Amino acid sequence: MAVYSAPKIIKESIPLLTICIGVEVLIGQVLNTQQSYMTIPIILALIPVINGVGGNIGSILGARLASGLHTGIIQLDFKDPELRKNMSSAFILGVMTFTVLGALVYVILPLVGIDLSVIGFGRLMAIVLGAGILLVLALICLSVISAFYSFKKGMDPDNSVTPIITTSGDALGILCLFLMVAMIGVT
Amino acid sequence: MEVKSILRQSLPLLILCGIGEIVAGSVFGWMADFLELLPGLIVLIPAIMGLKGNIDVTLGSRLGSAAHMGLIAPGNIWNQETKQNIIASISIGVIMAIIAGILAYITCWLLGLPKLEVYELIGIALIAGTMAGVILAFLTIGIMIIAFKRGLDPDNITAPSLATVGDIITLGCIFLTAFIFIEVI
Repeated sequence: MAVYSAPKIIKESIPLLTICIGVEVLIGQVLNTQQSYMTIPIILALIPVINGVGGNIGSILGARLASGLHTGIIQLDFKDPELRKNMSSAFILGVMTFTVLGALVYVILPLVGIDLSVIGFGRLMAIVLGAGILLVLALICLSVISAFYSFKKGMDPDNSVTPIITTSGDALGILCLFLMVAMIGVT
Repeated sequence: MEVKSILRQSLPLLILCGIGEIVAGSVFGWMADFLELLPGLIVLIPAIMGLKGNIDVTLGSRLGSAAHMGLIAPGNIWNQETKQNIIASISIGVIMAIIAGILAYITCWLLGLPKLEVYELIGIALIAGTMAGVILAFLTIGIMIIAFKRGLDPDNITAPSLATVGDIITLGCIFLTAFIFIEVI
């Protein structure tokens, strides 16, 4: 008898995934109404980068927490040292990745015809790093909370953390990006 | 596991995936004209993309846990545990494609946007979603095998690689399906 059962996985996944696509569609429609922001090419180009990488880091942490909880290496305790180590790795990973990507965005976007001379390197880095770090911090907390909550409720965190993280990452990522753009400015 | 080894295993891949997202974002901008031919697709695309990422990253995440628990190992990757996980993943893809098609139709209807018929939207979601789902399920196994061979923790590499490759393959499948629809209709 296998430990994993397809019907159980399907039953656990469908309701959450349905909520997630509902939220994704909603985000898409809200974005469509933000014409003042959505016509700025730099913002359009940054959205997938911030959201994608934020979601990836949150999902890696989620997958690691799930494995840790399944094997008993991580205990359901916010003070667990193994948990702390995983959380700080995710944060360092976020800072390093967004630093490198900020610089790469500065090199790649002009190649695809997006002009960055007005915004400049300093402000671009401030926006990417600021939005990225805010997002990673929020997703680390969400990842831990959703992994602990699912595990406690007898659900497999592997089924729940990724959808929760990627979907809220898409919403929060755009929010963090707009916040930084509003504070720092792109024009 | 030490912080340093987590960083060493994940960072290069994350940066590579970030570059993939930069390119994907730029390419997506060029496809705007194409979307006008199939009204409703613009609502369906983020739904299918979000969905595929979730379904396949959770598959990778479960297989990562299974590896840590000793349920799957390099020698017996094609066992019952893996099969149950893959059957679940592909079934979820089919069920969710139908839900996504209906949801896209309702959203367009609520917002008064032009749209295809509901069965056409479900059809596009089903064909594109299932195609991408099957490709990505096998890709997940491939990534697990690579992780085992290189002695990497699957948890550090499945999520970013599946999310990014998944976006590109799913976009490809959606546009292939859309192209077929335009030719047929």
